[in-house]
Amino acid sequence: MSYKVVAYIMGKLLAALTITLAVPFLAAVYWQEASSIDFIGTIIFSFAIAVFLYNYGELEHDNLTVREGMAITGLSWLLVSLIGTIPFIAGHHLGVIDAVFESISGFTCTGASVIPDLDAMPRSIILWRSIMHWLGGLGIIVIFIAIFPQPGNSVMKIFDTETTGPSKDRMVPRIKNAAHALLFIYIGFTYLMLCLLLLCGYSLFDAINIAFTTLATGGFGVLNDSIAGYNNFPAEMVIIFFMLVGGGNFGLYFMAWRKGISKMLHNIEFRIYLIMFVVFTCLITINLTSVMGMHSDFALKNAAFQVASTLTTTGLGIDNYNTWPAFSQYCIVVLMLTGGCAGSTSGGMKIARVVILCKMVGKIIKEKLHPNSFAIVRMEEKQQDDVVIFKTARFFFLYIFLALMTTIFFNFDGVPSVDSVMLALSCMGNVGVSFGLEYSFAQLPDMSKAVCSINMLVGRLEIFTYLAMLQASFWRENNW
Amino acid sequence: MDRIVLLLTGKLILFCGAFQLIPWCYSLYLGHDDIVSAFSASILIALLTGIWFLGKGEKHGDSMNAWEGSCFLFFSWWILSLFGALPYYFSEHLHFAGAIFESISCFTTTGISNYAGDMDIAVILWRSLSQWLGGYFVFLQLCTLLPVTSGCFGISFVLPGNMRTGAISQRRLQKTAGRILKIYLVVSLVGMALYELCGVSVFDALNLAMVTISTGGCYTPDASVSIDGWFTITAFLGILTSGCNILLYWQAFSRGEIRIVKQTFYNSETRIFFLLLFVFTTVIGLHLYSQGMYSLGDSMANSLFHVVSFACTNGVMVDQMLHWPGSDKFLLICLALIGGCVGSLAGGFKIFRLQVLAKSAYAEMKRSLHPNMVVRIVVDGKSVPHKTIERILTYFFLYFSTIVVSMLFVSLAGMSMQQTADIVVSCLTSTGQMMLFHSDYEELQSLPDYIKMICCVIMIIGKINIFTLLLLLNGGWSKLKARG
Repeated sequence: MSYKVVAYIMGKLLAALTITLAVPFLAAVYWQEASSIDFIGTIIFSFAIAVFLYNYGELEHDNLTVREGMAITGLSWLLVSLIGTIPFIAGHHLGVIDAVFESISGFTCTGASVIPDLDAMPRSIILWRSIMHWLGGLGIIVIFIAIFPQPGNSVMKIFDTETTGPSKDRMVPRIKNAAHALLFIYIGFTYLMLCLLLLCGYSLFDAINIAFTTLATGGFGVLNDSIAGYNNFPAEMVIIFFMLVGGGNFGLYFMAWRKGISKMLHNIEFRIYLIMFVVFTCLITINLTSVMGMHSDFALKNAAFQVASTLTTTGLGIDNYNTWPAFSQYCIVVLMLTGGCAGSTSGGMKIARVVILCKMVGKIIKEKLHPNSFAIVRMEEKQQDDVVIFKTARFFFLYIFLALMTTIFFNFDGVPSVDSVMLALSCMGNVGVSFGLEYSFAQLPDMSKAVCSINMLVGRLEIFTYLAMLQASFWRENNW
Repeated sequence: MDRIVLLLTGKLILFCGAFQLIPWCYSLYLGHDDIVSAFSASILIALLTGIWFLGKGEKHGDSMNAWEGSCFLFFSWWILSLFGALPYYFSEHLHFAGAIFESISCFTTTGISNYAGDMDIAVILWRSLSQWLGGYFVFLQLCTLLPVTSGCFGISFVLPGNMRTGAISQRRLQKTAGRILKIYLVVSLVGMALYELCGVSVFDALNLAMVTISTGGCYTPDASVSIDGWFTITAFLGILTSGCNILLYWQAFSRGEIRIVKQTFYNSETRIFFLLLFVFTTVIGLHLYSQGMYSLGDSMANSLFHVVSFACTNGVMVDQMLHWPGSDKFLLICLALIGGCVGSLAGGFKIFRLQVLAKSAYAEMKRSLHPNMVVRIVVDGKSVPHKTIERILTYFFLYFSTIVVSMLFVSLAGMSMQQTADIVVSCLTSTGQMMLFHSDYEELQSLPDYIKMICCVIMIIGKINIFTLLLLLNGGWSKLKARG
């Protein structure tokens, strides 16, 4: 592995991030907030590091190796998250661990916030949180590739490391075009949602923040009680719709745009995604009305919002699910596990993986009942490679295993058993929904916050990137 | 379907009835008339039904295929439990659903009881006996039926060569049943003798031996075990015997070779099992000590006893354990989910599978650096076939989904999340006492009947493996379609 190449590309990437920091800075200057000085400091610091990396680095070869690709993605996420903490620390808004937690939670689109009182925060800081979501949602790498010119085919490896889902199919042959298309769709949806929210009567500031956080399926709110504080029914419907949009496959939207909407509706993953939304909403509504005696349309609204918010791993809320019956809570857990579609901004395990796993079970049953038959796993009329299937199953195992390990840790750190299971799943899946904590992660012990942060990063890059980086041979200089 | 299934069902019912003769004789000796009549009625019904089934299955074929095997596996538990439930029902202590729950809980070696009030002493004997029979039945399945229906999930890989292949024929079943009964009896008698040496009365020793060897774990609902001296060590040995790979002992005994006994302990699965026990004991022991619950020695002893009890999914526990901190209870739940070795009577996911999963995940980690690498996984010097790895990976998903789906169903009872999770895990791993972790006895008794029935299904799934059930449903569905 060539460290110089890694440094070169990371330097460029960080320079790109520095530009985005200008947005909250200008906002702070406009609103005449004291935090403008924090932002200009961060910009200078970040730019200095970027220049240093860029000067140290050198593009020794055009074709990146697998290891370099992983190193760039893994380290960039880490570096960018650390840079993102500076405005919080410099303004004395949060302690170091809290700031790291908040920043990682922002970039990975988890949406778990440790800020106890949002009203006391400067508006520019709140804007910065939403921008972190928006950048992390589509992926910092994708946005970077789309905007900046890239030499050769070097970017394929880093692009693949960041995309989520079991297989790395692309809808257009050139990476550059793919990244462009994704970014274009992403910006388009954000703009559309912004307009709709404004029509519903949100202020411009709220609308921008909520649009960013919803499309990126993040979950940082503007008010202390998330969306419930607005009490605006049409806006809630808009948010539900765009959360679902954010949880769908962006590549698929591109295909639908090009080849007609039927392409989208024939996609098995997308169909299951919609079916899951409808079924779980109905189940929870029935449960809420029968057990808690909620009025049915109120229950339907709450259920639909919560299901959309959890399924797409957004984590916004309009009702306190801690008081819901156990059945509804377990439904939320199931949704937390599956997450949205592959290639979306959502987290979780991804529905495509669950579908592949179910098909594996079907394959084994077929082989058992007809011992001489040869069964295959098909997705979208395409035979799935053994490598993809095995990787999916191993991913599933590691996902659960890591969640369990962290659960045990939280347990010993003083978090109650069920809460710690939820916390672990919530961080692994970048959901930001958790039980027992009543919208706030601020009361967690410090060690737990640190472990949560690691979990979120590992979950966002789908485990294998960071696991590969743990091996000694990963860091060896020679390439073979 | 072949008639051999009917024949075997008939034999099973007769077998169940025959064992009821023991508590019947005992109650006759004690002179408890109402219990005598309950058992007599139950035995009579079993006898008549059994003979009817035998008659139906007279012209049977030679062997079963996988689908028939899974049918027999699933329904045999229900039939066995149905006839085992008759004494509870006739003695008018429990209504029908309660009696079925009680019986299934015993036969699947879960061991939780929903009896309200005092039990008759003969009924207690029948409960222990049915746990013991359940253990025997699990053992029998493990050697004959399970490898055919769901052996692909690693069981076939660890089985000794002579049991690995072949159809389920009646001759083979009979031969194996006889051989297993011998070993099982010998182990139980040794256990009983050891208990007696500890100074327990004959009746108690008999019950305790049966309960510990079979991983049932429930003697009487309010039996209290105390952690002291030889008694504990005996219980410990009994539990441990059932948690290791019994198939390996069997091979050692049936061939009479010391070499294989030695091999048992060099088996990597056994070693991982002991390593896990050691690690969990240390962690829990130190945590208990740091919480100031016991002195250092006591906390280690308590921790060791419970770790072994839950790792073998037995569930014998000391009352004081219910006051342990939540994190230690959570570790015990995890242990029960992992379960014992693959060829043991214990429930849970089984260590061998976990071993393969861990190695497989490690290989994937390496493969992410070398994308064209060929993955080969070796356990005990034998290379695990590609297919077995694939199936174990899938099995993990199946196992996990079973837990999640069961939780969704059981949560309809209106208990809290924690209580629901306790009930599901305890049913699936057949560690009955785990239900008491966060709920008390009355709460469990007052569960609605349909939840109890769901629990029964989960307990049976825990024993026959969810894959067998899927096989049954899928095969049945395609047969229905072919007919229509």
